[in-house]
Amino acid sequence: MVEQYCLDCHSGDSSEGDFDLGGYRSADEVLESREAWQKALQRIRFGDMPPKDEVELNDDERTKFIKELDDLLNKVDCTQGTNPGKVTIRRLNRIEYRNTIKSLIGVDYRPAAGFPGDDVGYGFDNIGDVLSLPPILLEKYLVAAESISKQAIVTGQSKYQLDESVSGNELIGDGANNGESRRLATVGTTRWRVKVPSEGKYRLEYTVYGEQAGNEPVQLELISGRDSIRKSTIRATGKKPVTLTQEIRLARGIRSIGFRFLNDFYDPTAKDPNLRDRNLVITELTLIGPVDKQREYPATHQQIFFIKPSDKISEDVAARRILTRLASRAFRRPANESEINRLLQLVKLAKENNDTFEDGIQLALQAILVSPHFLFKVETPTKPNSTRDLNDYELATSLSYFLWSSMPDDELFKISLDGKLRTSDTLRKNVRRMLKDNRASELVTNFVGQWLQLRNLQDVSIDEKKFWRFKPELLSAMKKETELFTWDIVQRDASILEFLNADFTFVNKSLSRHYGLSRDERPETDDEFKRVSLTGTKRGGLLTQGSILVITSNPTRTSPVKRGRWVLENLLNMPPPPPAPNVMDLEDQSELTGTLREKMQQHRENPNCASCHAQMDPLGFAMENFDAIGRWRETDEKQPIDATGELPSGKKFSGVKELQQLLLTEKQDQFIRCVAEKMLTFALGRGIEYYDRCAVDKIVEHVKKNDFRFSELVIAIVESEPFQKRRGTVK
Amino acid sequence: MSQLSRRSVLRGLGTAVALPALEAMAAPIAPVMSSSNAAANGPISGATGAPKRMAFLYVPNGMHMQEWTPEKEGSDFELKNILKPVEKFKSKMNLLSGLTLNGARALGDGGGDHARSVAAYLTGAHPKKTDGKDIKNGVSIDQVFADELGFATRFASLELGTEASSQSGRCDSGYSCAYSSNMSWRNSETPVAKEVNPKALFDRLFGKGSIKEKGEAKLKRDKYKKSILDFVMEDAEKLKKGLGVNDNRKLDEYLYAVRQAEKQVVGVDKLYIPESDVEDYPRPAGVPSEYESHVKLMLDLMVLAFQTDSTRMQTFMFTNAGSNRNYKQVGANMGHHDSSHHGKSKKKQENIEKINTYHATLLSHFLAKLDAVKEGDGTLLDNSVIMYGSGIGDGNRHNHDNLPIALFGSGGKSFETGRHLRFSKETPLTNLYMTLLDQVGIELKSFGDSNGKLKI
Repeated sequence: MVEQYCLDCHSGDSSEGDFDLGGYRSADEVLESREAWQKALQRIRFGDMPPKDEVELNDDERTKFIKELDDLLNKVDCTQGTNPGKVTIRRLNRIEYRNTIKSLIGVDYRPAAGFPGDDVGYGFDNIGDVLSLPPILLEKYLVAAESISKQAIVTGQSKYQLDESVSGNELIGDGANNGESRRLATVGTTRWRVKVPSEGKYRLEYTVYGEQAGNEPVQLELISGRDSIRKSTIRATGKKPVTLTQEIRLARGIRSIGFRFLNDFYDPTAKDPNLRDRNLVITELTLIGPVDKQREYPATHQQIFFIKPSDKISEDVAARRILTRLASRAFRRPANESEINRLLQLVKLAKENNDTFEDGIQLALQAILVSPHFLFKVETPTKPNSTRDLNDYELATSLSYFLWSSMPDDELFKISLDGKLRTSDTLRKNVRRMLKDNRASELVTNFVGQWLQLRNLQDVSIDEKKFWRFKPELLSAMKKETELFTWDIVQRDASILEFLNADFTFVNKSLSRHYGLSRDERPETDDEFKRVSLTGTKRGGLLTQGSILVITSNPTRTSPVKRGRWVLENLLNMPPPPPAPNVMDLEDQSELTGTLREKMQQHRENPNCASCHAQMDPLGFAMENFDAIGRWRETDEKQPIDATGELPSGKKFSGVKELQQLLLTEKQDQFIRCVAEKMLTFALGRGIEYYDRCAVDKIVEHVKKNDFRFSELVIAIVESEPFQKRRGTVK
Repeated sequence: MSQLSRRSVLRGLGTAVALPALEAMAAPIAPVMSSSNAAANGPISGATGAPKRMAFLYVPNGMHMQEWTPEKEGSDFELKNILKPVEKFKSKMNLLSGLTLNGARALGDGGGDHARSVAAYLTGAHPKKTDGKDIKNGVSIDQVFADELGFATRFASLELGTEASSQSGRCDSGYSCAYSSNMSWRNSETPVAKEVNPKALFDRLFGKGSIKEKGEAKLKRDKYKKSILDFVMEDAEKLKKGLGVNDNRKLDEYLYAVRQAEKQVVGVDKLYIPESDVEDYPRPAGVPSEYESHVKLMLDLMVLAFQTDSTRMQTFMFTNAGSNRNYKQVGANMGHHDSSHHGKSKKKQENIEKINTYHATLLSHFLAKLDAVKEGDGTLLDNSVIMYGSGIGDGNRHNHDNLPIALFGSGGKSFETGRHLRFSKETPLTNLYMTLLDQVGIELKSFGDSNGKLKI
């Protein structure tokens, strides 16, 4: 059939479209160029190849042709041991990085949001093959590691501690500076304003002397706030100042410590010019404390230093235990002896450079956070041409990044340590446990956000002139609506069919108004999102949510093509081939007239475009009752909306609700399969290959048998071969 | 009709164009020799004795060519509206018309001109149409420069822009976002991500508070950093053993990045800042919300990077490919991409012209700063080659011949300036790159789809 329909154009040196299908002598040779042939199959499926003006191909022949080619390219014998595939080593993307740091250290490292954008493949930003690591990112990892380890570990003094020294010339109030000192030449008070980090008893050391004159030595009064603390007689002179020590109780905050000179004396007639004037000079001050409390450390610090060097525990032993725990959690598997020894070298290096034990651990932590074992989800290599099960640690890591976009928690880590992750129904129990955890909301924002392309909402532009009442805040409300809607399905463990037939949604005040929903259930503010019933309204299901309607529209009008394409791509996993080169936008074809639907019908008369648009446009037109900003409408440009359409199968429908119903009945398998493939892609971090067909079949079966429940979809994916096993690549 | 196929008809009409051999474009580059850059430190001193620098600037969506290309050629030409903002630098400029970027053409791959045009802009390659794992393009001119001459400076090259990679979905008709958001390619599989945050760029160039840092403390810090890099390098090298091909590629990327970071630690003594000449530039606070301030900050820092000889090669993307940003600040209310497809609409043409002119205004800001830095008997601008342009010709037609390309500076009197040159149809843009590389002592047999050197 290929020869009959394709080769006239697609063979030889100057093949049409540089797409040569000639020269294949056997099925095996075809399979060697599977990718090219998959493209051919896609186009034949959509009907734009072979071109209608070249070759007559009736529907039966086309169906037969598609089946033959599909069988050749994609048929896998599921009874034989199938290929679970291979996942290229995956770098943590920036969301995973930030989440992991939070779980590992307890520090929320916000600048991670400013890492270079993660490369996207197959619609997701966690694909191992695609995620790159340019030098600039490594630089950012280095900066991050330093900043995170400094936030986590307190070296020297803790932030609750004070050890501050100033020289006298930093005092304020009465008196004047004299070099680095402060001199009070007449009766008066000079003050030190100092920031006290926590309430407690502090030790004040103050170094002073007197410029003595008259018949008595200098008298000094120490004042804390307004309270007199102590009066002292200062006999010391400038040749040998004296340091006094006093404990004072201070509250947290800016405190004032005063020094009052009490007994001025001035006699310009005295014989010895050095004895004419009596002054007080303050040279240096130190405040240390609190001295009555154990040093306090932040939780991050205490968590890392769960054991401290002491009389009984040497620094080496303590460091070894601290780093073993830290590195094992960071690498998501037990750290080995040689890794720990090399980390200990760093602790030693710090000591050699006159830094503290804590500084040493800090340095080792930095190295851990830049190590490839932390930055990548490393899996042990599989021997070429053989298949193996992931070990428990690898499985736990895959699982937690799938559901939480973060590292395994202690419970999962402990189960792996005991080697029990695969025993009886431990895995299932953990999936259910993890889905109930709040961290599973990451699955909504990261998986659903990319599957449904919600992230595109941030780049949407809406024509301000045409939709002058549209507030940009509505865009984030729409995103939130779809996220909460999905999160609700996850939490109730509801059927995934609810994506298309739910009779509820979530709105805040503005969105409720925008949708024209009843005032009875309208939230009072925009901060409050409320689950509202949609029974009896025009809405219900994803395709009636603002988020989807807006990202598939142009700034000034709806785009039935984009909407149809969105449905094909994201609900049926049937992305249409790209448009022919040099196709013009509707706006650029000024010769077209009439309503949007009429214009598009004229556009479709171009045979190059007709076949794909015949599939896309009817789906999009069903959604025409919603305008470009997601409001309901009955007319467009004063013409009544015609929301009828027909599937290629001949099935007729009118309006978006009927379309969604049709997707759930006629196309149910395809819809489930689409969701399964998208989620499997996200879970594995690689694209779906032809050999995954058996696994996907099984997942679809499992979901159908289990009332389409969300958790069952996740479980089926986690229990699938591609998730559980790896195949070694052929060298 | 069915017996006489469309193909045969085309053949009969003689329009079956032979496609260029793709393998040639993918062929690895092979430096022949680099005799003139033998000296260890100042390999590319121009006539003025100062290092030669290069920068490649990119604007998206082509140009409104009617208001770009001067009527006359030679040195007696008048600038059209779009380039009026750089009138001041007319005597230091070469406007090159007629150059072609064949790799950006569809060549059977259908839509996606924007992604292709930026991927091909500095590589001359034809990027493979994919949104997934098998990304394939070619090495870019700036990275060839960086590989050969980057040893002389702390940063072999800097890749800059205003927009990070897109996060979700395919970027342009089946092309990965890696194509449309990067124009620097270290090799055919690895794009080099851009820095878009001026604060982060400042810190990379001059360090956070490194001025305050006392010598000894800094020395210790560098020692620690070096030991961390040694540690992770050993990790990566151990890990690499036994891994498959794709995993190995990822580890190679990692190792390359570690070596680059190491170079910065080791090369810190190379930081040469004649403090009296460098303006005391404050550390930026972050990414400004306004486009204009953002671009100007980045351009200012580029000048500082050149001036302090922190690098000699920089690339800058005014936006990512196919950008639909609007520029209300200059009265261009329609999106850039939307209006570039003007379909002869007068309003859209006005809009696109405003945007093109606006970008040229920002360019003139950059040129003025470069020209204000005195070096020997010339200026920093004189000792540089700044290329400004796009990988699409006319945004409305999406053609890739007759590209808008302007050069500023003479690379240290390497060539004449103040001219409008027109080259014969289908002259590869990469011929220009051959010439530019030649002038800094890098001789290649070919680059991308080049078929010779451009006489400029």
